Amino acid sequence: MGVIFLIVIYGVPLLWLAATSLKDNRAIFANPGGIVFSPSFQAYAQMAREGTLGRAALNSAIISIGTTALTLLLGIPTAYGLDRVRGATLTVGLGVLVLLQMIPQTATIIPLYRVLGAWRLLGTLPGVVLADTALYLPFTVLVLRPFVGGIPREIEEAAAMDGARTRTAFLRIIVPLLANGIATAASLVFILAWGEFLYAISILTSPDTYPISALISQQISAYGASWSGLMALAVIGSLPILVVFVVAQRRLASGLSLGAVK
Amino acid sequence: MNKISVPVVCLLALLAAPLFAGGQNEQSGATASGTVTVWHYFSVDSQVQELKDLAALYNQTSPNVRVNYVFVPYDQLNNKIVAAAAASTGPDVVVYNGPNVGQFVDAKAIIDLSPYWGSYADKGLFAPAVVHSIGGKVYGVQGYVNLLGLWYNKDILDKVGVRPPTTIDELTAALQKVTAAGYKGITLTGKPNDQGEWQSYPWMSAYGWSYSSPDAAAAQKAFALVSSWAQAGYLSRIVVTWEQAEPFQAFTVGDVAFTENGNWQLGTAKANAHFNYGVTMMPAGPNPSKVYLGGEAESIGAFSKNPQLAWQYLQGSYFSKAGQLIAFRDVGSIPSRSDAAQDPAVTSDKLLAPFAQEVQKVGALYPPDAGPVTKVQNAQLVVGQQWSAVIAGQEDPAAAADKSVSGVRAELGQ
Amino acid sequence: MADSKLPKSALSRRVYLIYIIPAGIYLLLLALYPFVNLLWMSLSNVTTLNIVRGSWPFRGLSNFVALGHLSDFVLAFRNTLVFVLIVVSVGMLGGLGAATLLQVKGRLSAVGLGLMVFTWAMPPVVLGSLWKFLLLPGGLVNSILATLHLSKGPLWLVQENLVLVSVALVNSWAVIPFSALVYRAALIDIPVELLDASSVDGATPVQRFLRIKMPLLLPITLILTVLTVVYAFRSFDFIYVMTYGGPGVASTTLPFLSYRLSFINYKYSLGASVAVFTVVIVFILAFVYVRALRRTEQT
Repeated sequence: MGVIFLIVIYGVPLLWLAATSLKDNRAIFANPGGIVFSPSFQAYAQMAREGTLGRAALNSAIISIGTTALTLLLGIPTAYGLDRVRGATLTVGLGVLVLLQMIPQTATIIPLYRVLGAWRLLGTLPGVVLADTALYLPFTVLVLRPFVGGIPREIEEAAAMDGARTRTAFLRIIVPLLANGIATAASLVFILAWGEFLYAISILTSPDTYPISALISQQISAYGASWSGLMALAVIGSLPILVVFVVAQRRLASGLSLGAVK
Repeated sequence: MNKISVPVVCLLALLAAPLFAGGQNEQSGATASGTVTVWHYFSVDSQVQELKDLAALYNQTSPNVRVNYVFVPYDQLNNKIVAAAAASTGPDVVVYNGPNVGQFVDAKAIIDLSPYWGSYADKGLFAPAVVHSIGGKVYGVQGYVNLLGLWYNKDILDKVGVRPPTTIDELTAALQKVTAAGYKGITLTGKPNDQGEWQSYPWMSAYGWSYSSPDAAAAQKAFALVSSWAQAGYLSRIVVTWEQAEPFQAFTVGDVAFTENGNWQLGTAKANAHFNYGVTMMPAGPNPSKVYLGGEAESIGAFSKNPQLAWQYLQGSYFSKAGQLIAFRDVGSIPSRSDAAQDPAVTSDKLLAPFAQEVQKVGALYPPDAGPVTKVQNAQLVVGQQWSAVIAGQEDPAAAADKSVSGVRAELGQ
Repeated sequence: MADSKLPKSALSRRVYLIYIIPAGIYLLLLALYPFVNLLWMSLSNVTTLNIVRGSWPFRGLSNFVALGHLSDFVLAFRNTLVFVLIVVSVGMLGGLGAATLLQVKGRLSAVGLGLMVFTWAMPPVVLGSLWKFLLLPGGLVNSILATLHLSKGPLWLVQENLVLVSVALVNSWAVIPFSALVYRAALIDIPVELLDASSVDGATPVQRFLRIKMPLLLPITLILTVLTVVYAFRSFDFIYVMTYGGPGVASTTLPFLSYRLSFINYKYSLGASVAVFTVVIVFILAFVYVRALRRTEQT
């Protein structure tokens, strides 16, 4: 029953969104509350005609996959190291991570431009990946750490007694036990990076490197707005995320971690 | 071994010369080649079409130059230009909201155009108002002017028996009649930003407001006007969340009598308004309603690898007579060159004639000449916020007027 | 049985630190540098004249003092507190509730979860625009209210006492799926054996929830709270899209004020000081969190 409630609260606005993608601007204003109308596929047709969507989807994928990979690569060891090291380092580390999350993104553009410019990465997709990773790394570590915390230290002790080095214990035992946390963090970062718009539009200088989030921003301008275009692009542009998410969620299994202690 | 004859050597040298003449980016006419990167914020169909048509025009005389248009959202363009300058990079040409020339000059992101402009044969055809100079140096020039007018739904006006108003009193009377007959009155934007201020200026100036000597009584009358409209239901308060696009989209539905909007809505009107519509000059109050001369300016980036080529592009597109007529045809923008503005295509257009008249009669500098550009913009934002607060009904006209005056004085250091 | 605490030898500590170093260097270059830049900006006088090149004259705390005199600042501070309160409470309770409801296996749950995630994935510009239409005078929400004969429906985004709450509720709605996802993963991690054992002992679902699930969810709740508080404190996009801080300045929050000061007024230093102020506030809250965390982890 409660689930039905959820479906209504999230389904009805999405339904309206889909409906709007099929209305032209005039129709939207003529009857803002309406779901009954004569559909026009103009927005979708225009997307197909312009042919930029495929290219943009590829760019979005590159940015999202790259960011997810780099963030996990840097974040998993950090979450592990921070949690296990305890003490003052942990406190300071967490504090810094929270602090970094508070910087307004717009305020980082000019300094980032200097850094990326010096590394000759302006206007490139890898440049965006680096910027996005810096943006989402604190978040990833903060999300992963409790999952690490849920793994008892007895496990590493057992491994140490068996003669395994920390690195082997980490790779062979800890990381697999973190599967749920990693799957969750990975889906979250992928979704966030897919929708990230400010760094993409600021760092990239060529329209054929623009990802979908930039295309979406093109639907609204100071001079006009194409609501159907905006909604249509949002729907189509977000479908890949749904796929990724479903795949990641399938990997979630129950009660993994403590099973190993027995 | 054979001796190669002198004539052959000369011939070979002649043929080989272009290879050594540094011809990668030659600038003049048909042999010009290279890429011109243009940053802009246009995404409305008609404006994108204008960009394409301008490039096509330019390529007629310079077929080997590739014009590379890069879209940047309106709100990000300035920051991106400044950030790029910080990294010593940037576009060849930037098309942007004219008043922001101040920030670009401060950040050293655009070059001094005076050497190019000074020797430009047609420069005399441009009105001083569209040539943006700071400290005596020309930094940007507008290829056209965009401005506001009063659009009306002719069918509604005819049905109700009202003529297009020429004064504010006539407008208010018309609004009363129209709403009594069951139609909606007027739409405009009440957003607390530069667009809100842009649309407030005709009404404010009609009652005697100016930025160089802000007068609370004048502001109060203008705020009282729009507040009374909202109170009486002629104007929906929801406009405080609308930019300039939505009020016009609402107008195209066909049940709204008036909208204060711009010439650039030409394309939207043609596509979506299935009724008879017209435009009239902004109605006057005790004073004529001044209308800002807006529109984009074009400048050459400070880090352009090829400013000469960029200048050629501008000459062959935005600054040329043919280019300005393209802007007029595609978007309804009023040419900034007098020869283009007097072209029959422009003068015979009944719909856009009121806009052209406004340019002549009541056009005002945007931003107004009340101080350094950056400071005046901040003063304008104060007024924009009060305009929004008054329409929302959260501030009464007198208080809003006082806040406007003190805010403007503080920003301008008066 | 072996001692349950690993010997804290210097060697093992160093090993753990090595795991942190790569990310540390990365963030130093790409995240801490902008932060220090921001901090320095708030202590200097930066305008368009010197933001790109040129030195920044040091001004000490004068920017922060100037903030105190800015009427918009005090209002923005109040608005931000209200905004954060709504987004954190509705966002987290909603997330926990949703995660619990969605534990029921089956197609309906899958659909519900999918819809929620799809919503969360949408860019704020899309969701914000969507709700602008839904909240129009003749829009869907008011139409429903009218059919239920509840009321004509207010101007959600115009009325001074409603506008901030409206935007905060929309933001909460958009963010609930995030907490729901994280809680769901944590709930799944709770060993089935524990839950089964308590059922055998005769515990009711409510007791199971309160006595077993809640305590185990504590670490996740703490981190979610911090993340949501941080997110709410810096939330800017929804206000930007839906109301632009208006009408007037009625829905201006600290992040929006910071943006407006820096990028619309070009008063970079003043904008930076608002941002730094916000950081300090959140930092204090984060400090409290870490203290609470260390206490829980010691039990």
